[in-house]
Amino acid sequence: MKHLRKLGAYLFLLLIGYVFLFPLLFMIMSSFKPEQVIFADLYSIRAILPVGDLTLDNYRQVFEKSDVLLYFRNSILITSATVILGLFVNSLLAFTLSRMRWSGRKYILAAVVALMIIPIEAIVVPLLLLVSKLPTIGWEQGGFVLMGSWLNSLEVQILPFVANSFFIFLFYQFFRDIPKDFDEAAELDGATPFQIYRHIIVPMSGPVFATVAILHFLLMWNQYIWPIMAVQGEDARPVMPGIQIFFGRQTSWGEIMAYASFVTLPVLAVFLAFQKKFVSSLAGAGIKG
Amino acid sequence: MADVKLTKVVKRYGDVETIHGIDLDIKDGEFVVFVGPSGCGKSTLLRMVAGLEEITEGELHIDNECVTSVAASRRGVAMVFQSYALYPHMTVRENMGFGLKMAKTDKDEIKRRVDESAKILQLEPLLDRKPKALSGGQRQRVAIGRTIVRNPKVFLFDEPLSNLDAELRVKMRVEIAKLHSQLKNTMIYVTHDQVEAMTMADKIVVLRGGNIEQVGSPIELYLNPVNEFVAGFIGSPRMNFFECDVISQTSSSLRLRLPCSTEVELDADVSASPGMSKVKLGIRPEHLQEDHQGKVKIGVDVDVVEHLGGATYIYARYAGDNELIVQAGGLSPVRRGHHCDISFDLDQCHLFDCNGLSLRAAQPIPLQTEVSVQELVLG
Repeated sequence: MKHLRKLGAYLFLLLIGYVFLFPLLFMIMSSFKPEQVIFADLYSIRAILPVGDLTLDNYRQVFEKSDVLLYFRNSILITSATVILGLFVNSLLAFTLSRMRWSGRKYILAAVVALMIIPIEAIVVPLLLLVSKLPTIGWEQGGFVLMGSWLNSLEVQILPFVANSFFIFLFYQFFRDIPKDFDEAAELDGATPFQIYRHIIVPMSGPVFATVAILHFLLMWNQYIWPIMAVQGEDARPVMPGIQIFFGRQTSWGEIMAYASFVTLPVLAVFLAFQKKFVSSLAGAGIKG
Repeated sequence: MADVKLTKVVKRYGDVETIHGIDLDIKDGEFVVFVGPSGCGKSTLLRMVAGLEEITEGELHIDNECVTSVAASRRGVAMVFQSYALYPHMTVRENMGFGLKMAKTDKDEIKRRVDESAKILQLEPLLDRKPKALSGGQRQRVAIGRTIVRNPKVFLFDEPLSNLDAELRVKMRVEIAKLHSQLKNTMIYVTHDQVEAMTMADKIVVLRGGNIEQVGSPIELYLNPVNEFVAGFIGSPRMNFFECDVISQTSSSLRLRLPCSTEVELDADVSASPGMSKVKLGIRPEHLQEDHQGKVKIGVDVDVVEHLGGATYIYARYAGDNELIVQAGGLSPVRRGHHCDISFDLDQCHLFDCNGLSLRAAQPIPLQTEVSVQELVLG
């Protein structure tokens, strides 16, 4: 009876696993198959298995028909710049909120919490208006000059997303639980508030930095609505809106799957590389919160 | 090395005043212990000296220099925290050298001073370990080492032994006492444990509710507490108190009726308190005797007996519900449920008026009793 119950539990888990893994496996396997094989395998288990006439043609077509490498480079630049700047900006604000005493601190914290409930979709239109009026600073004839607008640039996809109230709150929660004795010991050792942040708090907060880095990476890599609105040309386009452009061209399902697999690869790689830390840090963040 | 002088020091949090104008002189090289129950303000006072709490009113002088508004790191103080506050991501060496690194001290100089401090505290084999690989006692030594490296004028200790087990606490107590005699710096030590206070201090400051109740040497406080609070706080187990009726009084003596109706006469300077009807008589557990050698005898009913080997604590009731503790010899035959006679000498008794103020000392303080624990421990 006990074994039967255990078997039932495993079967149920397998089913759930299949439901979640099916789209991913189907995408990856189909990217290696010609169009007619994809449709032939569609209603059998072969759809998620690497069997039959496998080819790299779909990938070759993706690189020929689209600027996917340019989009890929843009996404890497946008994501890494946002994540690095975000880790610094968000953690620094959380540090001042959680560990320093200054007037108005509570109001700022309340504003940060309140901002968490506003989705990006609700503010994209005013944000678009704002960035369309903002000039960029360029270098011309030995001096700084104001040029054009922010639209169609990489920075328009980076700077509005550096500060994030949810990540500030995650840092705040973590920092708040670090005993204040460390700050006081460092203060007696002659450390300034920034040195306390840099030398004491940051090295002690690895888990929350890992969590925020991964969540921010996912958020930025999967940006779709904002780049569609703020970027018209090819030069600054990231990978996710690129899939829409690619889809609009004469393409097969196999090629679309190859594109999708190619752009999912970094996400999977990052997740698998940091899987252990990510899961444990999420758990840790939960306990801390 | 430095004098520390607090002048009318006040601490307020909004409208709530927690420290009420404290005046205190700490001499160069003294080991001073702030002691008192939870919430008495002893840690707040220490943190004000450290510069971690702002001084709302009053002045603080260290080494004859007013440091009331000076940043913590520039006061020339170093502090050992209750939690040790060792940076977990740094090795012992990095922990000890952090202050010097912040002061942009030359790397060779940092190494020299860390090695020197490590030698004093026998930390050399631990220098490359992280705090999590250290035992409680080792962490405590590193925390102390971190303060020594900075060569401060004043060492501050905020209940540094409270996280250690009983055995280690005794060992560290002796180590800190040795360190004081070796370095001869001014040290201020906060504890709620009056045994620590008695054994380590040159001078004890007893605090209650943000006020100083009494300042004096351990023996002075033990023999001559100024009020009922200090008498009850200093000494372990605490002093027994009985309310007594005053039958008659002269300017230099009182005739009292004890709760068991026995009448006794005590010398006391009561010229300033005429017409008293009730007083409290205080007698320490160690001054109550199981034998009948004392001048006054009382009958008690024994509730609990604790045999500690070297001593026996007898918890008993006397004349109804008056609870009392007797510290008897280690091989006391008294058992729970016994009725027995206890005796004491009137010389050992303290008297307190209705406001709790002392009317007499237990006995005059002989000069030779004023020795510090360092002298007792180290000879």
